Amino acid sequence: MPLKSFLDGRLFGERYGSGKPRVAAFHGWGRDRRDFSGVLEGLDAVAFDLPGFGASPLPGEVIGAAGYADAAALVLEEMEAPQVVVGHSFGGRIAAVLAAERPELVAGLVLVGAPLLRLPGHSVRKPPLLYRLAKWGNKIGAVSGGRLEREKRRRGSADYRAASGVMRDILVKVVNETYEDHLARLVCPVRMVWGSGDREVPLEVAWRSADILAKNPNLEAEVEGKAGGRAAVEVEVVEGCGHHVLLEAPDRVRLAVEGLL
Amino acid sequence: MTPPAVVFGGPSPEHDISVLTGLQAARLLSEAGRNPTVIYWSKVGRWHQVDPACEAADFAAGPPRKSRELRLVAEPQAGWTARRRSLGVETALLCCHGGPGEDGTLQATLDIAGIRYSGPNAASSALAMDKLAFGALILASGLPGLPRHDVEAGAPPEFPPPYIVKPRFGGSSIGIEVVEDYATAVALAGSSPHMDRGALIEPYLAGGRDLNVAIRTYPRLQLSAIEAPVSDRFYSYREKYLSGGGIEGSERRLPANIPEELEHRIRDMASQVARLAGIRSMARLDFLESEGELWVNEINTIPGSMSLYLWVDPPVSRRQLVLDMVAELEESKARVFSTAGADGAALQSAASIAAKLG
Repeated sequence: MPLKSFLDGRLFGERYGSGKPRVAAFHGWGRDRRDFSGVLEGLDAVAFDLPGFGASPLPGEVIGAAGYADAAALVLEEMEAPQVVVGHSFGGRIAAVLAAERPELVAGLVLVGAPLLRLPGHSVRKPPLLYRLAKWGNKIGAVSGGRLEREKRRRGSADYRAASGVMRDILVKVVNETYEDHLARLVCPVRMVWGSGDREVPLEVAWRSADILAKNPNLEAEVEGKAGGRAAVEVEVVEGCGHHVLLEAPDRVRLAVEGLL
Repeated sequence: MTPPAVVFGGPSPEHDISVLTGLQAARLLSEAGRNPTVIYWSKVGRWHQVDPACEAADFAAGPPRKSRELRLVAEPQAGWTARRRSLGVETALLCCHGGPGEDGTLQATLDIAGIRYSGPNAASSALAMDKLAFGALILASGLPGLPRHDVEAGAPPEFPPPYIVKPRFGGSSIGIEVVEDYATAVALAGSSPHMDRGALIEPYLAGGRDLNVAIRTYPRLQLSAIEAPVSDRFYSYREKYLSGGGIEGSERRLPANIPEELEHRIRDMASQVARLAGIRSMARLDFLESEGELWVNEINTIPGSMSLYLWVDPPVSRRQLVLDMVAELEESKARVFSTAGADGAALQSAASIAAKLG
């Protein structure tokens, strides 16, 4: 599918179908729009390359999911109808913030393996003492930048090691974010599609997110009012599937999207 | 004779693939008893002598442990040196993909150092890496090529969208995109880090396919079997290299099941291009085919895995292919710079510089 530029070249997206888009898709960290090729084929949709990934240029500053959602909102404003928004992993964080902050732009939400909240016991750990010492040493000039970088690489995740510059700072920012408050404000139907074997974002995250949504007093009424008969929240578990549901079971994500169109 | 050097890596997006190509060549030469000097060019541009028995993973985080730091001195009788002493490298099998290792930069440096190298000379290397110039050469020679339009021309091309946008310089499919319109092409060329030195637009041929053939020039000009990669029309870097086992692990039909007449045309054109583009050692020539129509697309002067896997018909062993490349290299002559006519007479009779400026 051909690529199209949006926002004067600040964002690129791949168009599916020939009609007006009704689905907007956001990929995960370190991935790009191509992850959605098995999901969106035959639909009227746009899969975006998020800023700093694929064809889209780097963001000009360190932004979190809210900054990404702002950029997404600018594009969705240009589309005529509210979109079913699909987000995988990091893209799910953006989709949830977008739907909470700009409900008029989002007709429905499909969240796939999205790290929306932190599970108990998975709090952000304080960095080890040696690393903190190296960081302090670098600040006072006793530890070289190269040495500190080696320490960072030794201790960072695969995503952290692969990222550089502004993207590394963005990664640090977003992994420390959670979105319970956004979930509590959603007013559109939500489908969560999760691999039973997702080790990066365990299925428990989906269940706990669904619990928060169930306590959201407006959600049921809003969905009932807008699209009677449609469940407000559904969790779809894909047995035997890992974190990359878009690649391993694209049909299941597609069914969830179609159910909201 | 001094053992050949095998050189790989370099500050290029294709650095990692080059490490694989270089280690394969080094291993094949070691097994043949040629005891190569193995030289690694790091991503930050530094030189290291490494053990031929190194594995690819040893390079994942930079130069392997126990590697010896080298310098490349572009002066006669110098070349690669360790602690200011020349290693005495006379011949270099270049396994660098993309960037300065393939675009003529390293080749020109080795010319100055008096070191003979595999692959085309500096000028032909630069020509092959410049898709706009290479495409123009093909068309000017009467061979079939797709029209190529400079993105910075300021107006859309005459052919209709969708377009393929490619970095003007670069050896792999990195950075190539199909775009919906000219505005997207311009925006992409303005923001893609792969297109900071220019970009070009080609028509997108839906339903077209790639057909590739390797060319070697020693002991005589010879063509490999023709391959048809099984995937997208222009298969992405990810598909080509990361989908399992490097470029050799990519899905392909080899030999491609194509009509005899088409094969003849490919072979005829490939031989012409080899001469036109100054091909030496081993190259891979990529064609596009759609409904029987054929276009010369790109030439890769230091192809992934040296295209050793393409030699199934006629069957030539990988070891033999590499040994032949080294034999050709050893028979070649270093570039000699001529100073004929610069005998000082013009200097002696010249007036002062100040008088010339006056």
